Amino acid sequence: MNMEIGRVIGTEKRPNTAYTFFFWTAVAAKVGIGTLVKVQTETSAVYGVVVEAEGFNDLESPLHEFLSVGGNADQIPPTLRPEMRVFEAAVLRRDPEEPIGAVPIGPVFLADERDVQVALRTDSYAEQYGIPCGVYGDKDGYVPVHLDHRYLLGPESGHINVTGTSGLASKTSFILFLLSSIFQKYQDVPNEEGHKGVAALLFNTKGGDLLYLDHSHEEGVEQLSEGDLAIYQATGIRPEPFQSVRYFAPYATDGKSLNTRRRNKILDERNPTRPITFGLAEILKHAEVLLNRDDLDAKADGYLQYLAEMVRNEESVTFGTHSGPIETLDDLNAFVKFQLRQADEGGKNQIGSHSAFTARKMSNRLSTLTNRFKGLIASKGQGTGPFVQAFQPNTVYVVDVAGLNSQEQNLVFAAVVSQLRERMENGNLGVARMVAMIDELNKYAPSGGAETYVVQSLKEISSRGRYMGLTLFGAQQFRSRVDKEIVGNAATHVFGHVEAEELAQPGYSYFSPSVKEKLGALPQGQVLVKHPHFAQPIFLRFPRPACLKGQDGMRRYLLTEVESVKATIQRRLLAFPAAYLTESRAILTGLTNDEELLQDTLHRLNALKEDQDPRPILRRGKKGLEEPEGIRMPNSADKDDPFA
Amino acid sequence: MLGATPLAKVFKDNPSVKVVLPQPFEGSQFPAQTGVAEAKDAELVEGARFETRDVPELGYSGFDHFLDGAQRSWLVAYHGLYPIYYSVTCAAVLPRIERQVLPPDDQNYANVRAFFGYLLPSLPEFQELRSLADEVRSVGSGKDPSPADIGDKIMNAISDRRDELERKLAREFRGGALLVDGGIGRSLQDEADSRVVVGVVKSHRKQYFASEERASLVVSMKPGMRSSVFLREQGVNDDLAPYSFYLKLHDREGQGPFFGLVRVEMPPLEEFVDRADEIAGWILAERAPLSLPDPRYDRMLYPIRLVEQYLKSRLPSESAIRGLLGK
Repeated sequence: MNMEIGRVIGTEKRPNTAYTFFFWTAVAAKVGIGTLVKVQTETSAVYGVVVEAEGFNDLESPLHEFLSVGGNADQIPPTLRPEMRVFEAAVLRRDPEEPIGAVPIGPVFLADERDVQVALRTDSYAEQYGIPCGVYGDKDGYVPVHLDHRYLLGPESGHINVTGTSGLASKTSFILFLLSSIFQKYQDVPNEEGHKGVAALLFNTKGGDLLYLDHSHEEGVEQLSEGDLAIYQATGIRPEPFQSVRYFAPYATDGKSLNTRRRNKILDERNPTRPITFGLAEILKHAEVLLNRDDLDAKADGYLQYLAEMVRNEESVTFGTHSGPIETLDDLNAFVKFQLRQADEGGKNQIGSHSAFTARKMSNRLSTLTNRFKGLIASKGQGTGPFVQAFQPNTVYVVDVAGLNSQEQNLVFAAVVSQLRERMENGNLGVARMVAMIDELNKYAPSGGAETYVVQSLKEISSRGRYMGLTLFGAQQFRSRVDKEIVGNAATHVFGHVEAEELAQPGYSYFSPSVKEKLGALPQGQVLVKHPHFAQPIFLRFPRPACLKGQDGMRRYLLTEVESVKATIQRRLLAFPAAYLTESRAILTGLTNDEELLQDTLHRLNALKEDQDPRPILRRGKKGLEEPEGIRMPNSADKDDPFA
Repeated sequence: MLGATPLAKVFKDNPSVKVVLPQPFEGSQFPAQTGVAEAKDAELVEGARFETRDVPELGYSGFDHFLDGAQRSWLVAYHGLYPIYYSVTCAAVLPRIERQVLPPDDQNYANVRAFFGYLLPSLPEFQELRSLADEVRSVGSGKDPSPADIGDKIMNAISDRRDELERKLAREFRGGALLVDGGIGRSLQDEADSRVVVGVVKSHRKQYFASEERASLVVSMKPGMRSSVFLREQGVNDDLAPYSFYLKLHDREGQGPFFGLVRVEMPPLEEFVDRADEIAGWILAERAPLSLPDPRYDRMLYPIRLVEQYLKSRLPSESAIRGLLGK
């Protein structure tokens, strides 16, 4: 039953309007910034959220109080000054919806569960399209609040942008809870044709935050609190880790082990980390990330595109002892140097239509990349990673780039985002909705920055992704420093704890001073959410994710020694159909111990889809480098592979 | 009464009555100074000679109820040259519980809305006029009285109406100790009424010290001092003569002799003479908080100010009056 807490007031100086109203309450009323209230009259109901709070007594000047007690703070007068609270509320909804007149004078009630649903309009969509994103209220009565997945994941609108101070467990924790909620509650739109379900791709950029998503929080030191569990119960979300997670990491500089904190025998046996590498053509495509902007003028870009096309088309070239397609960066460097030598010997300034000076400059730049990006570049041909196979519904794909330096991270990011965009454009993401979480958006798409390929890709995704099933979950510490178009295209906005300096930016003028103050001191587990169905932003609570925290995971699963390539292959075989396992192991036992050959075999296995037969590749390794019949490499056309 | 037929509509066919824009009577919101100014030495009931003394400091107050009245009037029409006033008079007893002065229950609040004018019953619209207020009161008699005289009589009638409300609440008061704003000559049921009903009079139009000796003692009192108890003579409208003493609440450099000086009235019983120090101590404890920014803060006790504020909050606004008049 609703609790009457006060009454609407309107004065000549501060009248109520169609969108804001004032009301008073007793001092003890449980009302604060973010509280939802209802004004109920005989003919209408108006729902609002408190955005400002003021307290009064009858004192006009502090001097009056001082004089009252003669400056003696110990004196207790027989009469207390009457005290009251006045609140300003922003209108969320009105019933009836028309006419949109000033809020009537009437009694004010605390919103109950039904009122919250009506005020936020979740009553109209929660059952069919609702994704719980947290709860409103306190432990005495949590009310679940839902986002509409048509407005979160498309097609009506899409994308979410999360702002919060780094290190306060707001951004990532919220997104993980929301993803868990999506995976558990998303329902495909009835009669919608095509792919089904939702998958997510995340970048682990620092620490181990995203490396133990398939492990329960129970393995950690800190368990979910009673409050967390109550929120899970209220939202109907099971407090469990993600059921299906695939981890990817680049190779370390030794070219054998993976550069990840998940290098642990137990983890490898339970859910091995897979390598992510990029083909030479992809590296060349994203050379802008690797080279200085001054280097990359139109001529240099043209020359790199010429090289990239040659690599992509697998054109056979002969120089020195090399004969065949260029597959490695070393090959490419040798080829460019060969062309330059030929031009020098012929006294020419041109290599084809390209300037020899440009080619020389690019040669210098490319030669430095060999060592810097060794772990990221596939030894031959196309790369490996999450794009080798179709994305699976309810699966999280984690690309661990925490061990990479900033430039390497940029390269991975650019390549993955580009591939996502291309898959999106081609309509073959493999699932009905794909979520890409991009943290530190201010780094990848800075406000007023250059129009890089990454920025273009993010803009494309943000503007058209919702129609094509690709949703951006962007996050950043400084929203004001992110490209406005990308932020503006997000339909849902979430704010955790935000620093005062950031709150002082013009983009936050939309919030009342008290809401900003609250944001500046928001504790963990609380966020301010703005969603298309909510006329005003709403403060919500969300629980800690039910998976193992990064810190706990890193303590529990310590790094282990780098295993032999053969052992890695042995473990890799577990990913393929069990029917092939016995014979595959037998072939492996007889394999040569040639490190290069084993490495090549492992690379080819990594590039193989996991429903395919690994035996031909193992047999090839046994015979040598000769290509056996029947091997279907992932870079060959495959009508069953939606990404081919 | 709001929401009834506006006054302008009631008199639209009567050319002898002109409804005007409501004009609040200057100083009409709270009781105006009334009574004849005079000074005389009152009869002592405490001690053989008039003296002043320090009141022992108590640091607490025994009052738990507070009574005040309010009135407001508007000149709303002319019947010929005679003014017609609309007034709201009210009074309330507010309890104090755990240091908080709280709103009254229904029994402790009285409110009357009334029209006052000359020969109002003779108007054809009298019945409709009655439907717009609780009362319609005719003031003045005889043929062709002065319009100015009628205006004065109306003001007195409104004040009397307020007094009646206060008197009713005070007489019906049951409970602890009641502090009344003003005199208590009409607040007691009879001379044997021993309820703790104490009045604080801020006005000194009537002074109960006339001799140089007494005047000198009263005006030279320091804060926390009181005079001897004396018998305050019965006024024209009073039911009895209460006991009284002067009490100095505050003093301040540069202020006149009456700054912070109040006269306290209490029931005319011997036991109250004995309790004069105690009652004075209670009143002195009520000095904090100050009633600032009220200009009468030196004599206005804070709980009384809260009653006044409460009554003011229940008076109709100018907009409501305009609505009543249809102007």
